[in-house]
Amino acid sequence: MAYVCRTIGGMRGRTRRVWEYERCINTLIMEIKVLFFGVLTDVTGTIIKNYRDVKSIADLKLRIQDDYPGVVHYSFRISLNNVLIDSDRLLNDGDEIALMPPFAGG
Amino acid sequence: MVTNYLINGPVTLSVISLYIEKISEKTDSGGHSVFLGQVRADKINEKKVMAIEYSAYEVMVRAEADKIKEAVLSEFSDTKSVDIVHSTGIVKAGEISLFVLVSAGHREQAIQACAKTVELIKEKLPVWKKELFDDDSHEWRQNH
Repeated sequence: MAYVCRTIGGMRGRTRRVWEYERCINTLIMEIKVLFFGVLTDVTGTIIKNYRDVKSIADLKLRIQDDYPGVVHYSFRISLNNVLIDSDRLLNDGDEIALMPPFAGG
Repeated sequence: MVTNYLINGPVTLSVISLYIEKISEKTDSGGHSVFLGQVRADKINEKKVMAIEYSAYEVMVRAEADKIKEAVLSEFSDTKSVDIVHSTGIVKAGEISLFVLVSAGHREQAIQACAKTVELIKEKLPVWKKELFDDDSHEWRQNH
């Protein structure tokens, strides 16, 4: 998805232009970090991937499935900023999401 | 070096010795229970496990291990301390990958609390293991 910064008709003054510019930049840099663990590192071929313009966990799942169709064959839990979650959540810039297959410590 | 419950490579005898030495400072305890998790040289489909490679979500390991300690200390009131050391990276067959030391006022709770700690580690700690075979193949394992 492309974002376009443009001057809104009738707006004047440096403060308003700066505000508009910063709003656009903030939207553009919305980025989250996704960590893969266990067997998912083999499936995806990576341990970390950054995603931009992802609104929610449900949205992210679809994006990951597009990039790595093989993940649908594996069960995993999801954590958001180090806390396990079991329902959809909205995402914010800088969030860290981990996809975690069943644990195998010990 | 043990950092936030994790050590890179096997839990060595020198690491275990450090924890055992500190027992003498725990003068409120009358019993200590130790669990050592060891890498087995399993044979699977004619392939032999040479080592296990552990990986961990380190930030979450710290948080979950803290919770495990709190839960055990809360459930077993006679328990004085819980120590946990888990390996990351490669641990060869025969080497130690998990060390748990629980100290309590008396032996019953030391033993019970140690067993409970190990079960919680298996269930809650975000750690994964990849078995490395003698034919250079590997397989991800999960706890049962």
